[in-house]
Amino acid sequence: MVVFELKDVKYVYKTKYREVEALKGVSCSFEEGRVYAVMGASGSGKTTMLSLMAGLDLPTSGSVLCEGTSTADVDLDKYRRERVAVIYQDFRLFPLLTVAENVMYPMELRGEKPAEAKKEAAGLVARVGLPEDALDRFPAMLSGGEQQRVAIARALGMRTKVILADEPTGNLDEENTGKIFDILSGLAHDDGYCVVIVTHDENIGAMADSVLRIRDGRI
Amino acid sequence: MYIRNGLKTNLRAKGRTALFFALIFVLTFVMTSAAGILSYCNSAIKQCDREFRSVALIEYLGSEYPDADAADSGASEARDSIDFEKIGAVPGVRSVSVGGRDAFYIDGFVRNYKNPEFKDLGVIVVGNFGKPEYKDDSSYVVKRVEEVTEDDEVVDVYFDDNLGYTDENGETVIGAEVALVRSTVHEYVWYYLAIVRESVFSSYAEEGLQVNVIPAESGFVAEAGKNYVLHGRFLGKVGIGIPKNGVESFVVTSFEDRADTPYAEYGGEGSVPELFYEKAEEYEKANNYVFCEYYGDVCDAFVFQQGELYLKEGEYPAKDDPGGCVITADIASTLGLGPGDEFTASALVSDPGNTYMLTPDDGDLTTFTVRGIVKDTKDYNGRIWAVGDGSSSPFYGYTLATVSLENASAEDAVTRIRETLPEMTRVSLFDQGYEETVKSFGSVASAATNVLFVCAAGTLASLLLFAFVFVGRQSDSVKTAVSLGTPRGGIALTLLSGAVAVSGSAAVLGGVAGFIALPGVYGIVTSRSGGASRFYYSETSLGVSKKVTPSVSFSPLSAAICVLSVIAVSLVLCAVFLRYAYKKSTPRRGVTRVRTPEGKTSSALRGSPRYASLSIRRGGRGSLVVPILCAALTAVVIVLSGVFAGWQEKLDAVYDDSVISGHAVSTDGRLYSGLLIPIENVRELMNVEGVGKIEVSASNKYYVSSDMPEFAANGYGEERMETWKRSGGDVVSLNGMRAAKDFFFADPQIEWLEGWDESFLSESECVPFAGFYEKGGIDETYPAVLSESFMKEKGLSLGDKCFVNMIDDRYYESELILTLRIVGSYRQTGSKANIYVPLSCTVTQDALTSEYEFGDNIFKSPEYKTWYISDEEYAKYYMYNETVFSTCRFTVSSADSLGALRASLYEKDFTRVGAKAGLIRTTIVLEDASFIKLTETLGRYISMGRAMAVLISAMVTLIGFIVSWLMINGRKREFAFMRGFGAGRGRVFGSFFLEQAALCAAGCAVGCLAMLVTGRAGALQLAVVGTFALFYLLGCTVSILIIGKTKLMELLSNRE
Repeated sequence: MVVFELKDVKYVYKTKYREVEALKGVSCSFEEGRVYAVMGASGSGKTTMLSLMAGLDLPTSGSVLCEGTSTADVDLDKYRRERVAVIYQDFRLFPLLTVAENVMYPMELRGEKPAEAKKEAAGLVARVGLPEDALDRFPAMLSGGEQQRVAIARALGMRTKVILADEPTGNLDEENTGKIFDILSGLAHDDGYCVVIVTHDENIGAMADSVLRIRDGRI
Repeated sequence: MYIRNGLKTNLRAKGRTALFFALIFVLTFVMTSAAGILSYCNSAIKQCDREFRSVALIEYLGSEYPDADAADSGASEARDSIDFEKIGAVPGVRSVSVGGRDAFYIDGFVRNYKNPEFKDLGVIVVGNFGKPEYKDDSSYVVKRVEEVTEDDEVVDVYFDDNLGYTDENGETVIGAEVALVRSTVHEYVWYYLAIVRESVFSSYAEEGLQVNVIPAESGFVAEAGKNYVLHGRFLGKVGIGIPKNGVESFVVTSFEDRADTPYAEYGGEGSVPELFYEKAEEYEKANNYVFCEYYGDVCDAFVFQQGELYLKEGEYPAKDDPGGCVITADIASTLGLGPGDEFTASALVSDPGNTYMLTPDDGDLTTFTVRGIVKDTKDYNGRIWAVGDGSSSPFYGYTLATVSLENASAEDAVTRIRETLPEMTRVSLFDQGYEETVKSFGSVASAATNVLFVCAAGTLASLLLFAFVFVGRQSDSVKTAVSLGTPRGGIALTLLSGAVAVSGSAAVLGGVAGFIALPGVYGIVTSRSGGASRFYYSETSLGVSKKVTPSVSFSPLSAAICVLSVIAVSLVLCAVFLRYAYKKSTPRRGVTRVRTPEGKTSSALRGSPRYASLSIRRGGRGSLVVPILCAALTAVVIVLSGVFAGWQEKLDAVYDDSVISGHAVSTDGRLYSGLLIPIENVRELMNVEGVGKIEVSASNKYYVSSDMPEFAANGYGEERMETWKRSGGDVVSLNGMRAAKDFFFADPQIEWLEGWDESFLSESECVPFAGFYEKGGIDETYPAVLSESFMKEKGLSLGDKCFVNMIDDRYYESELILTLRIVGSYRQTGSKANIYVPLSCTVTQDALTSEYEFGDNIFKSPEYKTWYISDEEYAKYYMYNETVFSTCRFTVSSADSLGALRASLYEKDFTRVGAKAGLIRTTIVLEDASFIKLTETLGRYISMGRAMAVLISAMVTLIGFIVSWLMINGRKREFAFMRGFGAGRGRVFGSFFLEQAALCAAGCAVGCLAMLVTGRAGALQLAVVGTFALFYLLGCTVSILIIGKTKLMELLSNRE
C-alpha cells in the first residue's frame, strides 16, 4: 500500500546570491513495509525531498501526498507530530533531557501525560536495544550508536507509519551502521513501517528494498 | 593580499560592518565632543586661575570694627593668639600677611591731606597783642533798689512794671525801681587779637597773619608790646562764639606729654625755647607720616585685589623683592620718585592708644625700592605697600591678616582657617568672582566627564563585541587559512587589517565630525545648562567680581587622543580575540571535558512549563548566567539609585534644617553697623518674598550728665563738651539682641530681671521718643538692658532706675532725658556701654510695617497762608519717614525660598547705589556660604547621579536586551528541533519565554532582596528593576519571534 507519493515536486529556494532549484519535478511513491534508500551526490536534492516529505516546508509546485492527503492541505505542525517521524544524522536529541524525556517529548506533544509517556518510553528504549538504565542518562553520556537508537525510539514513539531517516548512519561506525539499519529494517518488515533512508552509503543501498537515485533534482 | 582580503571580507559583510561602523562613529563623535568640552572647560578654568586672585581677610569684629585707626586691645590680643604658621600650612594657602602697619617719616615728603591729630597744631611766635577781649559769664539777680547794699555790684537800674510787692503799710504796690546786681563774678580774657611773627610749625599760620589768641585754660596772659612763643591749636576762622571777623583763632593748649607751660616769652630771633622746636619738629614729622603695609605679595593687598587702587606707573614688586614697594602718587611727586628709584624712611612710633600720636624713632633707616606708583586719590595718600614683614606694633584697626589663596581651593582653605580662629574674629573670602565664573565651566566639565566616562565604557563594550565578531568568531576562516599553510602573520594581518580598517575609519570620521561640531555642541550644552548660576547677595560673592571671558580655543588634541584611543583599544582587543580564534581553530589535545547535565527523568509539569523547568534545572552554569547577571545589574542599579536617593534625602534635610540669615552691609562687605538704612527700605525688605523675621536697630548717643567734666565756659569749651557728649555709648532701640552691633557675630550673655526676657525688645509697646522732642522731656520709664560694667560703675542693680541724656542729631540735635528701668544686664565686650531698649522706643510696629498717610492732618494755616504740620504730626512724620536704622538683619523664611529671595532683592534694586542705601552704599548679604557649598556639592552629585542613573539604566537595559537575545539566539537548533517534531509556535515560545522569565525573575528577586537587606527599597529602584526585566523579556520575545520567522528547513539545515 502506497503511503507516500510525490507528484512532479519542484522546490526552489533563494540564497543571498542566487536562486536554487533543488528539485526539478520529482515523482515517486513509497509503500509501507519497505525500506527505501534515496541516494545521490551532495546537492542532488535528496535531503530537500526528505524535508518536504517531513513537512518542514511545502513544495514550490507539485504535491507531496501522505496517505492520499497533500501536505499543502494540512496543518504542518500537526502533520509533523502525527504523520511522519524523522531521524537525523546528528540525532537531534535535546541535550538537557534524559533519554526517556527525549523519547517522551513527541508523546507529550500529542497530549499524553508524562507518567504514561514515561512507561511507553521505557518499552521503546528497550525495543531499540538499550538497557533500562539508559533511560535516565543524558545524550552526552551515550555513544553515537546509542544516541541514534534513542532517536529511533523517539521516532517510534510518534506512532506514525512513516520513518524518514536523513543519513542516520552518517556519524556511525560500520558496526553501529549495521545495527541501526537492522532496527530500521525490522521496523519496516516486521511492523509495516515505510522507512525512507537518505544516504550516501552504498551498503545501505544494497540492503534496502528499493533504491531511488537522485541526480540534479531529478529521480 | 592579506590586507586586501581583510578589507574585502569586511566590506562584503555589509550588515555587520555598517552596524559597527555606525556604532563606533557615534561613540567616537560623542567622546570627542565630551573630551573637547572637558578640555575647553579645563583650559578656561586654568585661565581663570591665572586671571583671578583670591584673598581671605581675617578680621576682628570688636566694637570698634571697622575703624581702621582704632586701638582695640581685643584685636591686638586676637592677632597675637592666632597661629599664623598653622594657617600658612593649610592646603591652598599661598602666604599669610599679618595685618597692621608701620609709620615712617620720609625726609622731604609733605602730605597733601593732613590728619586731624596734627593738622591744627601749631607752634607760632605771636606779637603785637591788642587789648584783651573779655567775656562775662557772670550771674545776676534783680533787687529792689531799696534792698541794694554797699557790697552789691549794681550793673543796671530800671523800673519794672511787672513787679509787685507789699509795702510797709501792707499795701500792694505795682511796679518798682529795681537794680540788676551781679551775684557771682566770672569775667575772663576771651581772646587777644595779635599778629603772627613767625611760624615755627603750622599748617595755617604765616608771618603777618592776624590771629585771635585764646588763652582758654592755659593761664596765658599777654603783656602789651611783648612777643610770645605759643603752643596750641588752630580752630578756624568762624564760629565757636568768637565774632566772625574772618580771623584765624588759635587756642593755647598744653603739651600732650609735658607739664611745661605752652607759652614762653620770645626774646628775638633764635630765642624760641628748645622744647618748642622739638615739638615743632615732632609735629612736622608726625604730620607728614607715611603708613606702610607689608605683604608677602603686594598684589594681595585688599585695595589692589579689590581694584580700589591700581598702578598708573611701573609694576607690582616680585614676591622675592624685599623692600620692593608700591607708593602713592603724592610720595612719588613730592620726592620725585619713579619706578626703580630707592628712598629711605625713618620709623615713627605710634602711641598705643592713638595711631596718629607719632614720635620719631631713633632706629635705623629703612630702604625701599619703588616698583610701582598708584594713581593719586584723596583716600589713599602717603601710603606704601611693600614686600616683607613689618613690626606692625602697636596694632590698630581690625584686619588681623590677609591670606593669599589658591583660587581652586580657596573656599575649602577658608573653611579650615575658620576652624583655627579665636572668638570675635571672622574670615571672609574675596575671590573676585572666581567661584561664580568657574562654576559654570566646572558644571559643564563635570557633565562632560560623566558623558566621557559612560561613552568610554560603552565604546569599550562595543569594541569588545566588535573584536569578537570581526576576529574572535572567524575561527573557521582561521582554520581554512591554517590548512592552506598561510603564515600566522598573514592571518593576523588579514583579520586585524580588516577589523581595524572598520574601527579606525569610523573613529577617524567620528573624531573629525566631533571636533568640527564641538563649538556647536558646546553652545547647545551651555545654553541648556543656563550658563553660570548667579548668587546675588551671597556672602560667597563678597567684593568685586571680575568679568573674564576665556580666550581659549577648542584644541584638536583631545579629539586626536580619542580617535587614537579607540583605534588602539580596538587593535588590542582584536589581537586578543585573534588568539581566541586561533585557539578555537586548533584541535584540542588530550581529554576534552564534556559537561553532562544531572538529574533523573522527570514527570513533573506539562507543556511549555515542563520544558522550561527542565532546561532551568539542568542548565547548570548556563542557567546561572542569567540570574547572576540580572542580580548583578539590578544590584548595581539599586545601589547606585540608593546612593543617589541618599544624596537627595540629605539635600532635602539640608533644605529643611538650614536656617539662613541675611543682613544689610556696606557694598564693600565691611560695614554691618553704623549704616543709614531708611525705614522705607526696611518696610520694602519685609515685603520681599522669602524674608522672615527682620531685626533692626537704631542708635542715638547718650551721656550721663553727672559724668560730665568741666569745660571752659567759652566756644572752645562748648565744642569739646559737644564732642564729649557724643563720645560715649548708644541708646540702641532694637527688636532682637542679635541686631546689636556687639552681638552681631556673638550671642549675648544676659542676666535678666525675673519675668523678663529678650522678647520685651520686640513686644513692648513704648511711647516713641519722637513724641517727646517737642515737649523737651519724657515722662515715660523705658525698660532697658545695660552693661554690667556700667551698672557696677554707677552702683546699679537689676530693677533699678537710672537716667541718661540721649542726643538725636538727626532730629534738630534734640536732647532728651530718659528714665530707664534696668531689666537685664549684659557682659560688655566693646569699649562702649550701650543701652538696649525696645524698638518701639524709636519706631512703632505700625510704622515698621506700613506707611503713614497724613491726609487731612496737614492743613493750611489761614493765618500764615502756608502749609502747617502740628508738632504731633511732625513727630509721626519723623518716625514714619525719617527713621534710619544702623543695623538690619533677617532670617530667610525657608531655604527653599532662597532663590526667589535673591530674585526679589535683585528685582527690587537692593544693590542700586542710592536707591536703597541712604547715605552709605548699602546692600544685602545672605549668610549662606555653608548652605550653598553643601547644597551645590549635593546638587552636583545628584545631577551627576541622575545623568549616570539614566545612562547606566539605559546600558543595563540594553545589556539585558542583548543578553536575552544572545541566550535565545544561541539555541536556534533547539528551537528547530521542537518545531521539527511538530511543536506549535506557542508551545515553543512558551518554553523559551517561561525559562528566561523565570531566570530573569530569580535574578531580579536576588537584586530586590539585596535592596531590602540594604534598606534601599524604593519606587525608583523597583522601577529600574522592572524596566530592566521588561527589556530583558522584550529582547527574549523579539529574538524568539525573529527565529520563528526563519524557515524551518533553514534552521534544521544550518544554512545561514
